[in-house]
Amino acid sequence: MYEVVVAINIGIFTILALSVNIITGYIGQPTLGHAAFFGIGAYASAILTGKYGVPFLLSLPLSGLIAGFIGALLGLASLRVRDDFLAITTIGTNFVVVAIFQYVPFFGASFGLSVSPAFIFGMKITYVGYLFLTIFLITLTVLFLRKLEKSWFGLAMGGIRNNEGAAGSIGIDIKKFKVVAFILGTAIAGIAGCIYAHYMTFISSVDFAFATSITILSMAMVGGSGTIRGPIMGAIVLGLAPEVFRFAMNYRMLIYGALLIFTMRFQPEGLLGERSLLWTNINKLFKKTYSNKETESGIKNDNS
Amino acid sequence: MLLQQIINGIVVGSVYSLTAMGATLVYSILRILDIANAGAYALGAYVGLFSYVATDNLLLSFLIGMIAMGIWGIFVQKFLYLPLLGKSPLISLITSIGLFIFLGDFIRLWAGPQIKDFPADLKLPFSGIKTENLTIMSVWILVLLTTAILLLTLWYLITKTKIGLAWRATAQDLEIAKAMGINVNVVVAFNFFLGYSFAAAAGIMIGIMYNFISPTMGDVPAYKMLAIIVLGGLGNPVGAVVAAMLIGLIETLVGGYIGFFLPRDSIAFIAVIIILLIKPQGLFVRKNI
Amino acid sequence: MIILKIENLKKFFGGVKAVNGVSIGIEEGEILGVIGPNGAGKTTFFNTICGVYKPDEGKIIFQGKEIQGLTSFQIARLGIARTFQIVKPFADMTVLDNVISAIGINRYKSIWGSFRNSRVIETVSKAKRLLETVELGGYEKEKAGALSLGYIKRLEIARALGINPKIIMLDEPCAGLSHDAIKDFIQLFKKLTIEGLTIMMVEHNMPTAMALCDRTIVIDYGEKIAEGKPKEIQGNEKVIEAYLGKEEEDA
Repeated sequence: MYEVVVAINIGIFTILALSVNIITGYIGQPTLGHAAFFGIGAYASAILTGKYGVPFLLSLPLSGLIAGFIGALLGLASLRVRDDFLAITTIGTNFVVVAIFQYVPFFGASFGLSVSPAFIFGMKITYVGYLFLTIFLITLTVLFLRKLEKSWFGLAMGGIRNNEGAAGSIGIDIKKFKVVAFILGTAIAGIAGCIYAHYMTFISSVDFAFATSITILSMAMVGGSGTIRGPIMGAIVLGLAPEVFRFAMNYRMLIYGALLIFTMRFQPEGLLGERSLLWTNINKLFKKTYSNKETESGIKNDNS
Repeated sequence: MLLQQIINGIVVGSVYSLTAMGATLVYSILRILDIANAGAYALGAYVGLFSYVATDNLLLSFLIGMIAMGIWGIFVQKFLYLPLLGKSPLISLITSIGLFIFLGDFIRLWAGPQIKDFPADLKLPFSGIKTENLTIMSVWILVLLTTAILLLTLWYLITKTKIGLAWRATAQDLEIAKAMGINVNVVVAFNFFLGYSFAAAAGIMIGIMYNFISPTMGDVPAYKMLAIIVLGGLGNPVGAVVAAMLIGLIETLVGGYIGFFLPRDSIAFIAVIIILLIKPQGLFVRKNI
Repeated sequence: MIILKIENLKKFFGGVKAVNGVSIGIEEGEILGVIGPNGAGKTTFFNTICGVYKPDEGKIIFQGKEIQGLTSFQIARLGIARTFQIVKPFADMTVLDNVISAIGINRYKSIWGSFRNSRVIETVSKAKRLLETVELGGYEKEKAGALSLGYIKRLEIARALGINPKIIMLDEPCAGLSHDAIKDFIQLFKKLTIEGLTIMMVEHNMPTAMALCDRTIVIDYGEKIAEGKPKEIQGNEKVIEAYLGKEEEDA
């Protein structure tokens, strides 16, 4: 039972890490307040189902849309505000959104918000149900990202990430793709928020504070920025660590801080990044095992 | 009382300017957002407190705190930030956040999670002002004086000394400065020494002013200072001071006078967002002083 | 037939008249050299034509259509490609992907359309062929950022060709290259124009420009001071003065 809860948590954060990676890892924009959109999705669903009786299956995509809409605003801001200034703007957005959740009575203010349990086709979703739902959404996200990586959109993001001037010279409308990338990343986070709200049955502004944004971002970066495997691994590692190191509970933050420092310092591409120790060794292992077989044709996409 | 609020705002603003100076200096040279600077703020306060308990000499403890954190700064840039130069800014940012988290927890484990008093026996040669309409505490005057002295010292160092000249060249363009024969490593070390010692100074003064230090005292400054230095135009020390005073004043006035419905700490960020949307480079452009 | 016509183009930066009333007509299929001393405004001239800067005055007419004021990606879509003086490869992507990304120029028009798979056989083959053309065959899987400068310059040309342009603007393509590499480039460019491409290039190096260009235009202090066949330019007093004057300044 407890394991299921841990798994659901890891699952939700996997979705979050994959979603933030679209903005930071793929299109290369700093976004340090991603938890705000996690929260917008959560509160949106809580209010839609609680106050307006919207069924869960409908509020799931709606939460994504609402979060994505606010995300579009941030995307538009990113066109005007650049680099380090953008980083601070995203932090600021996180703080302001959380403050709104914390102080505006409509959102429950400091009492938080109770969330009605979710029903699919008349059946109440159990913990195991949430686990399956989460895994299902992770699968959808991964499939979507794989398509994204192989698509022209993916190449456009790569161009923008590497050099905007050059991207423009080959016909890429940078503004359009940036905004859409923000929408995609934030909408997916919003959907994760919806699941979170109903499975927790209670949300408050603290859940979506800057610290959570950093957790999400760390998962993507410690795991491997710009890849699909990276955020998944990051979410699992950082999600399981408190469980595995239960005995060192008192040193949790110390270890977390140290993990961030050492990973970024010595494996800045992430533990499963292209050139990381781990990934190159895994590849070597695969090459040995399949040394007689052609593993990939020359057409294989090198982006993942 | 408007005048009282303004004075409060100025005092708050001057502490902010000292706190923000650390992050500004780091950004000027290395172009990275250093959240860990607020770790030195908190750690410096603790070192200052423990020195005071040991020596009973406030000035000495102040200096010990500053120098200790200055040395720590040199350490941090050499082993952490310099090797990460040239990589994506997100990487140094996450590193810096990791360091900040680590330091915060380190303080908690070392000194305990409770807040501690900083019972500074000030013995100041001047007293505060207390009239019917106005209160200016003596410790505030101390804070204003210390801030002024430190900032003026910084200004003198940067504009009138040889290493200051090297600093300015490096701040403009690190590679070119290197090519011109400037020992960039020394400049960066010097820069971090200053930046981190200033953070310690700010932390100690806050501790004295509010008689309060805690392992989490750096949390709010960490992010608020980033908002301030961005507002002032990243890497512009003069801009940072102006922005700090501005935010100190706005926070105090809006909080005390208007009664804002959102928490005081979000004011800095709201200001940043609004100003950046109007003027994406911040209030001041990156200037050379 | 004139494919690109520049009429009285002006671009100012504050008080600096970087481009100050340049006019020229570029013939289809020719190689036009843009030469002039350092800081003359050649790259700014290019950047203004390609939409990186919006002109303050003047007209740019491409295939009969006025394009001044359009953004760089719109101009690229019309068929004007370019390379950069300071190379801008997509460093963390493979060499092959660098070229494929350009071939997809029309795919970027719609968000929905851009979700389609980019690694289809025709596209990949075309990319490989372009790489062969610039003699980068075999380097498909390398990360673009790991290549040496000369190879990156070739990659930029392949990438620019990927958008299937009618005219390609090369900004100092030979800068920093070895003598042999320059000879290869000269052959490459000649071959491309035979296939119908128009080339406009900034070339700082006089001998290269003389060897390669059908015509040249000389720019100094943002103004056109001469125009004509290379042989005519060589003897032009104003041109010699411009270059000599600059040499004296630098000395």
